Amino acid sequence: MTGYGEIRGTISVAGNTITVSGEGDVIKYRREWRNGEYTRLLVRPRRLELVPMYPVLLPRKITNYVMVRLLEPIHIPSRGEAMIYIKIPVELAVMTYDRYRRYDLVDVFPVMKIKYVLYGSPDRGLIARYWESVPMTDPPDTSIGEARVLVNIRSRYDGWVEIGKILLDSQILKLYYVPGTWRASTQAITMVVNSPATATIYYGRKVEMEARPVHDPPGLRPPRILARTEMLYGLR
Amino acid sequence: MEGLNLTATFYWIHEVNWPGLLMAILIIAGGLLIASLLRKLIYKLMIRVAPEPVSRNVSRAIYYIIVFVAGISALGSLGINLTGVFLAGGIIGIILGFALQSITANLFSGLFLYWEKPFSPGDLVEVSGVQGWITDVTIMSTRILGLDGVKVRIPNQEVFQSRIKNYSMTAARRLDFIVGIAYKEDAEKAYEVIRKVLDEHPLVLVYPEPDVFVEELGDSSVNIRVRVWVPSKGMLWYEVYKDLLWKMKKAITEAGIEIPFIQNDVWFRTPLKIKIEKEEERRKRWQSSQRPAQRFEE
Repeated sequence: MTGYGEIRGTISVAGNTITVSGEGDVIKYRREWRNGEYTRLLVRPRRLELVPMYPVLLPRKITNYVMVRLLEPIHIPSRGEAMIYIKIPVELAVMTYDRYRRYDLVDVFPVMKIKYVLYGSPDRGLIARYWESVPMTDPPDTSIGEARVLVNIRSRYDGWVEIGKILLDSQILKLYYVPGTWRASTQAITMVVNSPATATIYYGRKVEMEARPVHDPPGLRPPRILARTEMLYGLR
Repeated sequence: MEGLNLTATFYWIHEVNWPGLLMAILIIAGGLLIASLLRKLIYKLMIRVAPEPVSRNVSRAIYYIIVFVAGISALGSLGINLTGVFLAGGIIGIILGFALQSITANLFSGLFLYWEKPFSPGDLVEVSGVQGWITDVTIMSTRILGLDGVKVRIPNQEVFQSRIKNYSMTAARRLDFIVGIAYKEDAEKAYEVIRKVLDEHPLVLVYPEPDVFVEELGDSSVNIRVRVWVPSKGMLWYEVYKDLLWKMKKAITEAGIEIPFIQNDVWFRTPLKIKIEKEEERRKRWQSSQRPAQRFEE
């Protein structure tokens, strides 16, 4: 398969072979990989779609956060601004839709290595999905298992600040994808640096106009009053 | 037929101490009013600084004390001598005090636990040697669903006095493993193999970084300590604990590094004499030991 989109018959993606078989009311979904297989029976699905998914569901959901460590830390001058692109990991998910366009998550599987990290100290910190990214000034191309994030960094601090990590909340983050390609992105992010150790992340609007939003899996996105993330345990 | 003697029927009316009764009613009404107001006021003040159950129980206790005092005062205004009642009450109080000592201790321990909040329902804890999830904390006892599925009720006094380990209070916890390798093996190669296993495990946290080092030159092996941090949520640590040791063992064996059995070298202070029998001598000795039996058969 060469991109996100509808699944028909048999496809191979990221070391997995997905087969959708059966006729009539019940359809069998089967995914095979080197060490195992995963099957589901689906009753009257209208279509099955391969989409990018928030990287917090595997091996099971233990956090909502994604922490991106910048392989090249950025130094921002006092009250300075910078616009960078980073990449975050995304899993692959199979969504099923019924005739009323109601959807359900059938399967999620990884493309990239899964690791977690403690942001902060054991007693006051939080667990986050770990990822390393090089900050880029030009929009990068994304391959399977990656999504592009535009980050606008604004410093309110009087002095130089070194930024080595960015914390994102998948409950506020929104994923978009372009069908038929492996292009995935999020909405624009604004990181307001309050001090050398703290920052606030604000979530803006979608960047790629032709991209389609990923339907959120049930339970991932509870209603929130404040759509922002506080980074309280350091930026380096 | 005798006529209705109204004077005799309502004679008691003249006996009633009306001013005293009025005073008693006023005292009880006033007491109830003050008790209710104070209960609400204390609850509202305490809820700002203390947990809800503590605030509720303290305000309720004050309410009942005021009602009790008002009742006693009302009886006093009616001219009822309460000396005997107090005397009997005092003696009963002493007896109950001794009898309910443990209940009182549990009650106060429960209040302190509410205040201190060392755990909440749903937390994975170890209390008095029992590991499990807190299901309920009442004023008298704490209930734990043990890891073995057995529900345990521990009196609050025991909980208060025991060492409490709360595994859910922190975001991450550390797990320790010991891996022994043979003396002839290269520990740095073993580090590399172990670090690769840790790196491949999704639930071993990147930070705090895993720590791998030779801890001890043991009797039979060089002991390598492996320290990893894992998320505290649920029973993830247990999954990693079960998974990781075997994966490390497999990787070390596959890398050709020997994990030795326990070996004991025995040294004798004085040299031992070892007699080596030849086959012929052994056969002769065996035959001589069999002779009496042969004679019996003959």
